[in-house]
Amino acid sequence: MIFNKVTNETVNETLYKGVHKSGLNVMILKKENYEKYYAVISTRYGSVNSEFKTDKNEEFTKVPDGIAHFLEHKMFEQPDGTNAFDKFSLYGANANAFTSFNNTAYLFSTTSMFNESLTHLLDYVFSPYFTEENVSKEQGIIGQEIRMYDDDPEWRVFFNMLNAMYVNHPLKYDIAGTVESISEIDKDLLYHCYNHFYHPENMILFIAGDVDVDKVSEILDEKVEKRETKFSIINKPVDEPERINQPYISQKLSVSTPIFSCGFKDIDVGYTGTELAKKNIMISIIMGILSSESSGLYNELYNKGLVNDSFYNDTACYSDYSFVQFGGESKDPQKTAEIILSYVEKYKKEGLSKTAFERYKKLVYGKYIKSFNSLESVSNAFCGNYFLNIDLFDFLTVYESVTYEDTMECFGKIFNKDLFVLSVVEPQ
Amino acid sequence: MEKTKISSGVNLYTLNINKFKTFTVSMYIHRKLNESEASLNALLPFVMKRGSKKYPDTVAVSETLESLYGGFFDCFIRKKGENQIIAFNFEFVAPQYIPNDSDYVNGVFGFINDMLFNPLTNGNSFNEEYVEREKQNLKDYIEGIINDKKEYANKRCIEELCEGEAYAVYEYGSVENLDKINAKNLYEHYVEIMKTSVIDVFVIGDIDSSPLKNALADSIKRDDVKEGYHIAKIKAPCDKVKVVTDKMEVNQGKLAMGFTTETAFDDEDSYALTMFNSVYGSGAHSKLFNNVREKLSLCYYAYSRLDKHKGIMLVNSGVEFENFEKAYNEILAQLECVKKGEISDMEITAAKKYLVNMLRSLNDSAFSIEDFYLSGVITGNITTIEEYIENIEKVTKEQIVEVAKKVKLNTVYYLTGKGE
Repeated sequence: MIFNKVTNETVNETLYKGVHKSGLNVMILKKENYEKYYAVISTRYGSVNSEFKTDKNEEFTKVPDGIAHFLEHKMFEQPDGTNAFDKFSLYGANANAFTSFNNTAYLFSTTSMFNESLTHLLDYVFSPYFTEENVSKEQGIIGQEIRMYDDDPEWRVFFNMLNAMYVNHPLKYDIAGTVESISEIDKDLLYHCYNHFYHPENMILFIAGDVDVDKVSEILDEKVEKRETKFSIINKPVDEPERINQPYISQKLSVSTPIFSCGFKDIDVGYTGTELAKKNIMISIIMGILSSESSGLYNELYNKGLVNDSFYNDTACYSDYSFVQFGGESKDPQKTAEIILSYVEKYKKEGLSKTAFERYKKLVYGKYIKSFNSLESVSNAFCGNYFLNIDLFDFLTVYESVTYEDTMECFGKIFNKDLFVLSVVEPQ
Repeated sequence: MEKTKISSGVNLYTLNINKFKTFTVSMYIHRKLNESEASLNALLPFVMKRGSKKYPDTVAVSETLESLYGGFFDCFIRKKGENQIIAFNFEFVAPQYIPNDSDYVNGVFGFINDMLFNPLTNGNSFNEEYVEREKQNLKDYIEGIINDKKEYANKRCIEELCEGEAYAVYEYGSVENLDKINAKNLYEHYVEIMKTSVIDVFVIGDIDSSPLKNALADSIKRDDVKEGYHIAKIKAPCDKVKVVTDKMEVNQGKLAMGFTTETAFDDEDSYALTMFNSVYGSGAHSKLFNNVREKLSLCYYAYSRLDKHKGIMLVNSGVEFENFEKAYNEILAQLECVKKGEISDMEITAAKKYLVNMLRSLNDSAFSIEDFYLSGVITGNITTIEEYIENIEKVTKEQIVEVAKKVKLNTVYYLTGKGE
């Protein structure tokens, strides 16, 4: 296959990009001085893809919650009764997989036998093997994974928050599903989802390390076939109203002190590519100015003893959903939420600080440079962004286009107190 | 790694490499782990992090880090053997990626040196408000361990396993001892430890470390330090297995099993023990993963981990209450398999490659390189990563079986539901 070589002077890195004849997108970040190689193949299929059809004349069908994650577990099953880990182990590769809201990814890292490991990765991801027996075994294991998360206060407080924010969006359901929903999964449903979503045209392979680009090309030709039919999934558009589901939600668990998560549902969605990349940078800057350790908000909360070191902020800004959140431990989550809202109102009136804006812009630049230190995180970031039509190598151009005025406008749109929710996990 | 002795007990280790986008600076202060001073040591770095003379509050500290392109600064407490280690870690973007900012490197070292050697004081005392606030913060942290049931079960098991020994002391100290600390006695403790402790400083990356080296020489004044590193006494085996159960409102039970290995860090069969652990319970190739999880479908996770400084091994798993016994039996049955030599060539190969891969990968992270050398420095057994790999490669099946025979169950800990 033909690769296009792109060099980025800002980060001093080189990327090879191309589309394989099967339709699979391939990118290679050449990391010459690293011992490790990392490869990840990711599909645009996650927990939110729960209602879809394959032909525009069909009706939409709903699949059980948690099936994308279940499928991820079952992909490791091999026809000869072994699991895909076995071969990776013999090559010395450390393999894993994960399912998020939007993607399912299979990956390995290794310091030897990269070509063999890559061959195996492609082999097993493109050859599913599901039986009634191995599906039922997995219900036990995933059942325990779900039970583990049921006791995890940070996980619970986060999903409860999403439940409070979203009325219909499947984002609100746990990625692993429930013990009940996964009991409805059988091998035919797994094949159905696999055959439609695991289409090379719907996937990306990202490799980082000092690999032989021609050899990768050879392996791809050998292992990835062009499908007879084109990728044809139509996801059911989510009908999500421009309001929240409920302003407050709480649950009791064995915790030492209340744990909270609160945030704003962002209804200004529908962006991709450069626009989305720019929005992401602006939101990071806003969250930093608003609630980092240098902010008035953080210092008031910390000094009043309302939050401790566990305080954090986070953002999730995708094409069809977007939200910002603050969380941590607090002995008075209601009071904490009130103060957060009062600072938002204050900055809406007075404007965000311009010096803080410049400072935070520097931080965002440094963070981008740093992200190239870890093969794993830079590869995963490239994959996630690829599906949003964002090329991380274009960062600097987008970054330089971010102005204070645009950022203030973005702030005004997202931080709407009518779209604010608070989720609390209380001690028993 | 280049070593420079700064003064008695103070060493600077530097590694000049340009593969990373950043450079890291770390300072480790070693104290002997014991109940009476654990809380003082644990609290100290968090008070220092609140402010120095030049950067006197959280706002000044964070604004400076933000202006330095998002520099990273945090403090941790570590336990290696019977060393309680006070750790300060910094990471900054390498100067080659910061064009048009000629004052950048001066700014970075000015900050690091002030945070480490010029803490905010009020006469012979730290700032009282900071001390009180950080006491509360640390208290929240200690009490919050219970929120992560997996870690909580592991910590409880170690406490029970090593009851009465220094090693049972939690590295972040205890809530009771925090109450005895004030701004004055904490400052006195600070002065004392800067005089009497072994201090290791690491700088990794493409950077000239001389500003830090000079600051170290100027700031740490001391006579001969008699303290060294504190090697833990290897945990002795017991005759009777101790069983402990805690009850809590939980959905899933946690099982933690503590074993003695009777093998010290610098024993000849230490590499065999590492291989044993890999075969038995560490990684997707291990017996625990393939039997307790994959074959019996009892859990999502079951793994073993070693603490080679103390000669112990912990097995952790999350299971339904009614499956405690099945999981317990299988964990022990798999140990018996290793002892009987029921290990395939494939298992040995996989275990070896798993470790080699893990060791080689350390070279791709500055903090991992540092941690590897720090363990070597503490035990006085400094090897390179390559030497370590050679030793792992040499381990035979017979050696794994021999070392496995020394592994004995000592403590079983159950975290179970209130109604159970």
